[in-house]
Amino acid sequence: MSMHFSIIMEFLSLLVALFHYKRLKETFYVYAIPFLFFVLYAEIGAAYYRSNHLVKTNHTGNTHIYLWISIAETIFYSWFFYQVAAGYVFKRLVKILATMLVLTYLFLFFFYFSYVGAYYIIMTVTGIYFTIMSCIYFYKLFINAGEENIINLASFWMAIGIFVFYSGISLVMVLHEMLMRQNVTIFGESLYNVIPQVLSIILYGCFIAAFILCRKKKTI
Amino acid sequence: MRIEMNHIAELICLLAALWNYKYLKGTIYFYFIYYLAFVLYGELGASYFKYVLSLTLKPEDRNNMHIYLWVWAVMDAFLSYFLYTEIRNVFVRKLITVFTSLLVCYFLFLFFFFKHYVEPCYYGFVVETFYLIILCCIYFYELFLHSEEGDSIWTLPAFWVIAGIFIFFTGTSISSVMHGVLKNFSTQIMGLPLYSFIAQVLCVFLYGCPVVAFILLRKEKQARLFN
Repeated sequence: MSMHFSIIMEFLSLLVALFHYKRLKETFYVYAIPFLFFVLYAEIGAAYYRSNHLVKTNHTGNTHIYLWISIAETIFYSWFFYQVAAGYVFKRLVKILATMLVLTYLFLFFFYFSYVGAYYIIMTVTGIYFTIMSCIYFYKLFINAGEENIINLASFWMAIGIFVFYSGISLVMVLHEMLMRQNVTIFGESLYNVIPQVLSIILYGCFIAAFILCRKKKTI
Repeated sequence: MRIEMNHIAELICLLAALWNYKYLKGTIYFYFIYYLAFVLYGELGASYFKYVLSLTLKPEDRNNMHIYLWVWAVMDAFLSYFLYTEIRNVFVRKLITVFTSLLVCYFLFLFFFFKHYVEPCYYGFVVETFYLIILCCIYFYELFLHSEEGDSIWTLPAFWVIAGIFIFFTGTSISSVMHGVLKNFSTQIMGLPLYSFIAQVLCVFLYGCPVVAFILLRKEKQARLFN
């Protein structure tokens, strides 16, 4: 079982969240603890599955595990935008789009046996969705910022992480088929595996910054 | 694809929840909508997998346990949470938190780390079954202990939901324990293995009782509005 950047970063951010538990309590960020635990557990499982059960005849590889990680991410990040967003229309939009995405993921899991290609397409859509949501959030934040320094806002860092991660991986997901056919590799790993790993450093790094900045009174 | 008794019971229960949406809002019963939608969606998928998709697959890939594993994990988490909100004893509530987390982690462990896990998954379900039966018994004990406090138990929505859980899990526990034995025999009723048939019949109680609870909740809120 090879160790991944994402696993290390998830573990670190989970530790930071547990360390700041008292501060995170009574804020939205306390739910990041079960979320990070689930993602970490699943990623360790996926890495183990990849090195122990993967054979060439296997149809889905460990996509069935990543599909559930994507579901958890879609729910958690949408919930985050739902909490931080101002405006009835934006909140409604987040609710509807997140429900549709989760239902599509579940549809793949419940009604298909082999769904690697379809999964990457939905991941791309999810990536575009989160990129747009982050942009709308930034726009509203900059308009309503006033005298407050946005760098000190936990939600800003969280949104930055989501924005960088999803804008980066949606490109890779779009090109997944081509990258796989061309067998483009870096450090012996496929390019479409390396890019999300590198971007996860930024994502979970921003999570850590958000946990450190989080104060009871400054809830989003 | 076959439409089975459990699909109908779940759909009726979901429709009843949606019908009473206005009255369920702000209570724990509101989450029944999400729970029932997930279980119905999952069970329809499991049925499609069993009767349509599996025919095109290799024998070792034909079971739909990967779907039932998630249905059971969600069932365990939701029903335990429901019982958690109804049980008063603080120590038992702490135990519920710990034990439910462990059980969900066990199901996830099977899903994340194994390729074939039919029997271990049934073992998990058996443990879940006995665990929920014990929690129901604790609830009934507390209810009878504080029976002089309020109205008749028949008017309590939570009593109906928990009675449904108790009947379903008591009935399925024995067939689940014997799953390993029963699957080797050709004991079938209406084209279904015995362990499947029992679960389907008892589903009527599991999803019928919450319908009564929703109606009681509606009556209760309407009466409060009139007063």
